[in-house]
Parts: sequence; structure tokens; C-alpha cells
Amino acid sequence: MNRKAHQRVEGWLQIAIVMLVSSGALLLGSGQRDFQLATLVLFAGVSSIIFTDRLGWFRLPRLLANVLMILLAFYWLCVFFGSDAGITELIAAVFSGRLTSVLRGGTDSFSRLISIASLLVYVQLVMLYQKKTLRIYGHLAIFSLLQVVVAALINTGWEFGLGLVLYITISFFVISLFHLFRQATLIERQLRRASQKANRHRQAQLQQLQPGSQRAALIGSLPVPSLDRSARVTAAGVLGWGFTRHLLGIGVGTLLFSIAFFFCMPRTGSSSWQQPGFGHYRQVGFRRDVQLSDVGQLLMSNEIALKVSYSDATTGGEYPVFREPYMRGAVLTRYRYDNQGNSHWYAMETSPLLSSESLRVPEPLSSRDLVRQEVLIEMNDDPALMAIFPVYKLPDTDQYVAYDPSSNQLHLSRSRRSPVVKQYRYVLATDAFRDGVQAEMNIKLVHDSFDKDLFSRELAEMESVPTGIARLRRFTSEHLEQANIDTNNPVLVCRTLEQFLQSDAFQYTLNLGQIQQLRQYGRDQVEDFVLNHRIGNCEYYASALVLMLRSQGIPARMIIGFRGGELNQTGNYFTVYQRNAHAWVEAFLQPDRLSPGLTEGVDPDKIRGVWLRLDPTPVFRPEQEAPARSLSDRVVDAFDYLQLLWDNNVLRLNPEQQRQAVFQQLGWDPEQGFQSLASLPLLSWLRLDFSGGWKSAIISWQFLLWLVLGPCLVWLVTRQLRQSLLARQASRPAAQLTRSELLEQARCGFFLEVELLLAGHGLKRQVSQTQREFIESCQRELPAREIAATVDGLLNTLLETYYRVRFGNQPLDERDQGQVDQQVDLLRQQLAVAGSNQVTEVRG
Amino acid sequence: MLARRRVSVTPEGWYFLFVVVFIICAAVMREVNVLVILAGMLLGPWLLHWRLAGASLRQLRVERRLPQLTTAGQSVPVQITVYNQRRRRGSWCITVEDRICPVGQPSRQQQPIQMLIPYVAAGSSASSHYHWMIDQRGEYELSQIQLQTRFPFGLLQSRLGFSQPQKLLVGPQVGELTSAWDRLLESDRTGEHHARPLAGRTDGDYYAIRPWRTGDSRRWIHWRSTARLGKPVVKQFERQEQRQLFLLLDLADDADPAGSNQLSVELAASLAMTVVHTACRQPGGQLLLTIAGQQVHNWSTAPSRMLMEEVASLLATIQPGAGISQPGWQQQLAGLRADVLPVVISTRSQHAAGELPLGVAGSWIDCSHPDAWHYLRLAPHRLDPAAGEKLPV
Repeated sequence: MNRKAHQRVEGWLQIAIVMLVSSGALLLGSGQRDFQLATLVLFAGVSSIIFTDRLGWFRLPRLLANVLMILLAFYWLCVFFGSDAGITELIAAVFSGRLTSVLRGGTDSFSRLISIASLLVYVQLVMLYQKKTLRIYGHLAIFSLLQVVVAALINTGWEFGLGLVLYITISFFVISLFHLFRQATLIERQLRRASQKANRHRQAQLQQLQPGSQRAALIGSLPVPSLDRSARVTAAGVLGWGFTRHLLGIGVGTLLFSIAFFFCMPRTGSSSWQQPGFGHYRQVGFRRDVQLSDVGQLLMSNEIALKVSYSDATTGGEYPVFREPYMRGAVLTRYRYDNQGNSHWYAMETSPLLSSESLRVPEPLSSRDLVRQEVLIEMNDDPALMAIFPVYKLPDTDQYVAYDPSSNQLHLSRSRRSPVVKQYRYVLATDAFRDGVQAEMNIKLVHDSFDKDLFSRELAEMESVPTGIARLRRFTSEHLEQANIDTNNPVLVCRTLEQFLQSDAFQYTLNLGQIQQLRQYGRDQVEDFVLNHRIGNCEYYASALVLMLRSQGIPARMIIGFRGGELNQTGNYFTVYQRNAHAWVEAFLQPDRLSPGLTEGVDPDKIRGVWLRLDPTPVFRPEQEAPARSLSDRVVDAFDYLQLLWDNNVLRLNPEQQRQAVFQQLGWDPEQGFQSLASLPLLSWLRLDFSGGWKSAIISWQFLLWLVLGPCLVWLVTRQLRQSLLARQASRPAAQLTRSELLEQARCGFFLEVELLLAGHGLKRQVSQTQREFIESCQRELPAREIAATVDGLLNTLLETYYRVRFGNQPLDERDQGQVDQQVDLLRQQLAVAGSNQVTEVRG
Repeated sequence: MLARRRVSVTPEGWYFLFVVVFIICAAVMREVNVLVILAGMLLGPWLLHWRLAGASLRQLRVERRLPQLTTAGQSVPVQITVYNQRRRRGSWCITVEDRICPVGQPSRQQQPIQMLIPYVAAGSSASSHYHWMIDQRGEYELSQIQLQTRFPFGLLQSRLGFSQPQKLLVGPQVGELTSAWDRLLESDRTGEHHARPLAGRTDGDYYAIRPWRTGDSRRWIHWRSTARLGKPVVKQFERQEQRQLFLLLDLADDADPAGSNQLSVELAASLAMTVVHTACRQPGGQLLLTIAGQQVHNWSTAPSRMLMEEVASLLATIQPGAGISQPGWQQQLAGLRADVLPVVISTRSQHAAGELPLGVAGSWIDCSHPDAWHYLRLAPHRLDPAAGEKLPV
């Protein structure tokens, strides 16, 4: 490859390596949602190409670059071990011997990963400004790859998958260009070393003779090679479309392989890292206790809390849900009013059995109207899970989903909780829907005496009325009396009070600071809300309704959860945001309030009562239709659905999903397959025991021994086979060569070309003709075809050359070959002219 | 042409494999699904590369072209052509390794050369040229041509060897005959008078003047120049003579323990080669040549390119032997005409050769004597710009 092509290849390599480094930084930044470092890397890359590589104005000396890298390594290692001091402070700490005090002993895993990745990025920045050698190019590529490994651990977005494909494609080009450049450079070096070696050899010989004498001219030395630099190879010829197509083909093959590899890689599902994505816990708006506040402005967060889809549990088809569903999170039954004038709501105590993790979600009593709810929740420091109640277990409900009947809450069990888990997916069933609408009434069942005791305690709490709300009780009674409501009809009482709170007499607000100015201190906050300022958020409304109902002897409790969400029509699921957090009320009614249809198929002895859902908050109007989705909304929905698919089918692919998606389609059960493999006689002959599982079998001395011996044996056997095959091939008589091969061997291929040219004009050599006879016959026919006389001479010359080479053992040297090539070209031109003349004549 | 193909993992491939295995282990043990994807994206190219490395060299054919005969000190051009007989897929980054070795020398004396053929299109060919600078006569062999490729990623290497033995004969270095040689040839002219057959006109064209010497004809005096210069000067005429030279190359092996005989042999061979080369460049005339080493070879022919090639081929591999013997010499002399000038180039002195008679005009050049260097001027060694070093001349 000539110098110009070499430089061109290096130029493309420099650009490609900058693209690789930048895309790696971009992938890392996308995981952190921080693109400052990626921007810096891009700027450094572009400027290094211009000022360092092309113009050579700025190049970091090797010593300085090494010092910088050492400092960077030192700094980021300190960060890795928990330091938050600057570099100068750290250096000062080193000299003063206080380094151990600066290091706090470690940080969380996420920060450690980020520190490693940051070190890699900054080291790459330093290397970009160094003079590029083979070593620098190699290190840049390796560090970029390691950086992408870190990015893979912290990234959960679907765009990471796309970015990874792009990164791998760029890396193919980088590695190929690097290889091309490296080979050319190494060959140049080898050539120079060979020449130097030959010259050193000659120098040594010359020292034995009198210097300056012509005798030196006769001293032999090693042959010295040199390349012809005038080779007409251009970079465009090498790096053309074929090169790109070749690499893109490899990229497609890689993509297909990686998809197959991903879905076929065995999984056990026992790792706590099953759901990837390092992340800090989110500080969510959902809480498990409520304190009515009169300070500050509540901010509606647009962070995603969860995504939920509904399907028919029996048929698996989509289940359309109308109106916004209520997803329960926490049940707050206890109300306390402290001496500082604050109202608190608390949940019932959790069951002591929760620590043993033996609590499981109950099985459904019947399959009637059973709806499957599939939830993908963003994990936080609260292990509470959301669902539409009542919930039932399905066959694919995760074993780590536990239900506490004491506090009436769903939990993620402690063994599943991990700081590395960012999202969690679970499925449950519910029978709360009737024709797509969530029923307002649900049965309360008690399965055994334990349930009965628990509910009795809860019921007692729900019936308790705080002492400080006498005026509220009086007001409620008067209101019902004024409205002529039969207090013996609890449903009517509930609706009346609900509508009262939803009326314009009350004002919904998120600006709780307004309350502070109007509040009467020394008074119960809820009573103050109802009888005085009548301004508050959903917690105030729900609190008011609960206490008002209790004052009338109707047990009630507050429910905290999420209401509504945005329907993603592309994926047919609801995206619930933190701003959808809501508080509502559930009133407990006696079983005689249940309609017969509701209890069909249910054991009447287990029915304890009815929960009636009430939502006194006036902002949400069930009869309002959701606004129409614009085009941008639909595009956002599509991307969101893509993310959901990525989460479900890639990030959280578990063994069960793998079995359904891959192995069952192939008609193969990996468990059975593994069992059948494990029972093979060969394995017992090899003394390998898989009965205890594949992990225990692998960690055994027999397996390790065969792991070492096996490849050696295979290598020996294949080597023997190959040698015997080669020996057999060598002893076999050589295959008969074709005529063209014979001519090529004799270096008379040019005459074959002559014959082909003449055959194109209908002059074909017969098998029985010698070459001389053939040429003579052509020369007889030439005048009839009005072919130029020069063709005659050319044919004679070529014929003579053929005989000389073929039979005269006088091979053509380079000059003769060139002449022959020219003659053949001239013959081709002459025949072409003759051919066109003939065509012209025919047409004329 | 026997081709053997091997695929092996390069050091970079081992490092890469180590990283991939590490990522796979981390992905499997921790079941981080995105790492599994990344591992697949790294393992896939390695496996594809394994197949592509072997496929890149499939249906490739290589051909080497080089002259069969050359002389020492001349650059030997070699053309390597790689033919790609595949219809669709090209081959990139083919490294061609060729080796040259003096025949009979151990393999460690082989000199390799590598060249890079960046691209060979499908159904096409690509050539690369290189040169050997050989300054030692002898027979050289170029045996196996090895094709290697690590394209596209350099993780695996595929090698394909083509056994294509070819021999190269390197004759002695051709130098330049000095004026001493010319005087040697014309030593019989001055002061002698004898008939000599002339070719062409009796008087050739006048081309120069020289001082008058005893024996010159008065008719040759150029009076005008004589008057101007004040001393007699004569015209020189180009005379077309068919001068017969009988050249005997006597390569006798005296088994000199100091090893200087080898230098004498090289000098003698080079001098003889130069004489033949010079004679072949001048048309006409007749050359009588005898080369006596281990065997005796005779030529009596007009100088031609064919003669030069034959002599060069012989001198490339000739080794000293018994040399010319007395009876043999007598036999050679017996057939000579009187006007033939015998010149003996020998590796020994005339005395050591047994005082072989030369006749009146004959000359004996003893190449073991430093005076032999007066007849030949050899070209200085070329600088090797690739090495960046200069060699003493």
C-alpha cells in the first residue's frame, strides 16, 4: 500500500475512533441522564483530530500524559473508596498522611460504577491528545468497550439497545481500519528491520577486510528486499462500498447471533440482579402514612410510578377498562390527633408472619370476571406494591409478592428487594371489574379464624371516633337531617356525605399554605376543614369523609394509592405518574347490602361484608371524557410502548418467559432436556453427576479435570486425523488438470485468450487442430471477413511466442509478458473494429 | 501447487476472547440481561471472523514471476499476483510472505519479505512488486509463498501456503573494464608489423589526433595541427577490426587456508563476466571462451545475448576445481590462429599453473594478485534507503 493510501486509511481510522469514543460516552451519559461528559468527549475528539492529528499543533508528550493519567486514576480511586474531596485536597492528604481519614470506606455500587466509568472516560480524553500510535488506538478501543460494559449495567432505556447496535457497528469499522493500518505499519517495520539486519551483517563482514577497497563489492551479504512503492493502490479502492458492505453483513450476522444467544442463554432466575439497572431509590409522593399539612405547595410530579395493563385471565385477550381505575397502595385505618394540632393517619400493624415471608396472595375463589393485571412498578424505598383489589394469585404470580391481611397491603418480600433492582414486574388477578368498569362495591371475605380476628381488630379501629370531633359529628347529623336522609340506609348516608364534600362548598387546592391563614388552631384539623376553611387536597377530603362516616356509625378507612393514568393506545396499558397519587375512602357495609349477583359462586359463610368505594375529592369527575390524543401524544405513546416491550422482553426476561417465548416454540423443555442429558450413560462413564443440578456438577474435580483433558484429547485426535488425511491426499495421484490449467501452468494463458477472441468471431479451433493449423485457417478466412492485415501479423507473432514458451522452454519475462499483453489488446481492438464494421454493413 | 490452510487465534484474539468470556460469566452469573446482549454482540463477530478468516483465502491462487537469471548487484524484480477466483466476495488485507534462500544453505539463512495486498476484488487479481538486491552470485531458491489474512478484525489469522519452487541464478557482478584492459588488448600493436585481416574499409574515418609514435606512417601526420602544436601529431582512424580474443577463465582451487582464494574466484568470475558482457555489447567479432573449473566448458561463437546468458548461468554456480591443465592448454592453443589474443584470467599465478605458454601477445591475469584489480572497476554498493544506513565503498 503506498504512502498516500496509508495516510488515508489512518485518517479514516482517526475519525472512526473518535466516533467510537463519543458514542461510548453517549451510552454512558444516557444511563446517568447526564450528557455533559459526552459533550466534552465529542468536543475533545473533534479538536484532537484537527489540532493533534492533522495539524500537529498540540500533542501531549508521553511523560506528561502518563502523569495526568496517574493523577486521574488516583483521584477516581479515591472517589471509588468514598472520598468527595478534590484532587488538590487528596494530594495534600497524601503528603500529610491523612488519606485514610479522607476515604469514607466506600459508597454505593452505583457510585462506584460511575467512578470507574468516569476514570475510563477521562483517560481516553488524555489519550486523544497524544500522538496516535498503534498502542494508543488499541487502548482507546479497549477502554471504550469497558465503558460500554458499565453503561450496560446502568441503562434501562430501549434507546440503549439501539445505541448499542450503532456502537457495535462503529466498532467493526474501527477494528477493521485499525487492522489494515496496523498490518501496513508492521510490514513497513519488518522491511526496515530486514534491511538493517542485512546491512549489519555486511558491516560485520566488511570489518574483516581493508576498508575502502573494492574487495567489499565482491563480499556477499544477505539478499535485501525492498518494496515497489509505485503500487497504484488507492484508499478508495480498498475502503469502497465492498468493504462497507462486508462489514454491514457482519453486523447483521452479529445482530442475529446476539438475538439467538440472548434468548437461548440459560437462566435460573435466582439472581437478585435479574432486573438490571442500577439506580438510586426514588423519593416518591406515595407514603404509607398521612399527616394533614397546612404548609407549602404540593408539586405534581411527572415521574412514572408504574405501568399496568389489563387482560382477561381466562382467554388472555385484552380487557378494555373504562373510567379511571383505583389502584390501592396503603390502607390507613388509625386516626390520631396529636397535641401540636396535627392529624395523622396510620396503617394497622403488619402481621408478625410477614418477617417469615410465608404470606401469599390468596387463590381466586372463582374464575368469573377474573381480570389479569400486569404491573411494572418503579421501585422505591417502600416495598408496598399497587394493585386493584381484591387481588388473587395467578400461576405466574411471583413467589415474592406477599399479602399482609393485617395491614391489608401487598409487599415485595425482603429477599427480593435489592438496591440494584430498579423496576419490578408482577401479575395478579382481580374480580373488581364489571364490563370494563371497576365496581364500587367489593366483597370482604374472611377465610379462617385468623382472618376473622384480624378484621375484628380493624373493624374496631374503623368504628372508633376521635374525641375531638364532637362538633363535626353534630354537623354531620344535622346535615343528614336537613337532607332528609334515612340514617338507617348506610349507602344513602355515604352518597349524601360524598356529594356534600364534592359540592362547591369546598375548594380543592394544592396550595396548602392558604389553610394556614384560615386555620383555627386548637381544633381538630379535619373538623376545621369541614366547619371552617373548607380548603384542602384529597387527603383532607378523604379524612373528612372517613370521620363523618364514623360519626354516623359507618366503619370507614382511608385508602392511599393511584387513580387513573394515561392510556397508551399503542400498547394498551396505563402509565401512572406520581401526580396520579390519590386518597379516597372505603366504607364497610353489612352483607345484606350486597346484590345477589355479586355473591354468586361465593361461600356465604366467608362473606363478612361489603366495601363501598367513595371518592369525595371534587377535582376528578368520572363523567368527564379523557381529552383526545394528539399526534405528538401518540408518538410519545409509541416510544413509551417500545420502552415497555424493552423492559418486559429484554431487561426482565426470566426463565418462565424464556421457556414460553423460545423453548416451547421449539417444542423442547429445557428442564426435561437437562434431565435427559444428565442421565446419559456417557456422563456416568465420565463420572459426572448432574443429579444435584448443573452448578454443583460444574464445581467438581471430575468436571474440571475433563475440562482440561477434553480439549487436549480433541486436539490430539483432530491433529492425527488431519495428518492422515493429508498423507492420503499426497499419495493420491494428482487430479487431471484441465486444458486451461495446463496452459496456465505453462504460462501460455495468453493463447487461450486469443482463442476466445477468435471464437467470438466464429473462428473456433477444432480439437484435432494444432495451434498452427488453427491460425493458418484463421488467416485464410481473414480476407473474407475484411479484417485488417495487421491481425495477420499479430496472430503470427503470438503463435511464435506460444510455441517458444510452450515447447521451447523459454518462459516470458516481465518485458515479454508486457509485449504479449499489448499484442493481445491490439488484437482485441482490431477484431472489435472488424466486428462493428460487419454489424454496420448488416444494418446498412 | 499444494495449498494448506490453517486458522489460528492471534494474541489480540486471545485477549478479546478473555474479555468476552469475562463478560459472559458476569452476565450468566448475575443474569444481567443487557450484558448478555453485549456478550452476544462481542462473541458473534469472533465466531463470524473465524469462518470469514478461512473463507477469505478460499479460491485464491498466487503466482510469482521473476527472471530466471540475473547478475549480482542488480535489482531483481519479482511480481506476485494474487488471483481471486470467487465470483462475489473480495479479499482484503492479504499479507504475502515470500522467502529466498541460497540453495544448499540451512533454512535459517532464508530471507523473508512481506508485502500487503490491500484488496483483491472478486473475479480479479492484484499484483505487488518487490525487489531483491542480491550481491552474491549463486543459485537461489524461492520456495513457498504464504498468504495470510487477519481481516477484518485481526482476532484470528488464516494462512495458506502455496508450494511454488522457483530458482534464480545470480551471475557474477558485471563491472567496467578499465583502460588497463584496453592497453592489455592493444599491447600487441605498438612496434609490431604483421598482417591482420580487416573488416570493412582499409582506412576508417578520421576521428582524432595523437602524438606521433615510432612506427606511425608519415602519411598520417596532420600537418596543420603539427604546425600549431609544434610537435608532430598523427591522425587516428577508426579501424574496423574483427579482433579475436581467446579468453580462458582458470578457476583453480588452491585450498588456501586464509580463504583469500574465494575472493580471487569471485574477482576472476566477475572479470570474465564483464569481458563477455562488454564483448556481447559490441556487434561483430568472434569470441573464444573457455571456462575451466571443476569441468571445462568451451565456446567459439559470435558474441550474443544467448552467449552471455549461458556464461552467466555457468558462472553463477561455478566452483573452483582443477582448472586448466597443461595438455588441455596445449590443445586450446593448437587450434588458435596467430592473430588471436589469448588472455588468461586465473586464480593462481602463471608459475603456479605450471608456466603455461601464452605466446608472444598473451596475457596472464593473476586474480590472487592485487594488480588484477587494475582491470576491473566494480560499481559501488547502492545505499539502502529503507535501512537508513550507508555502506562504505
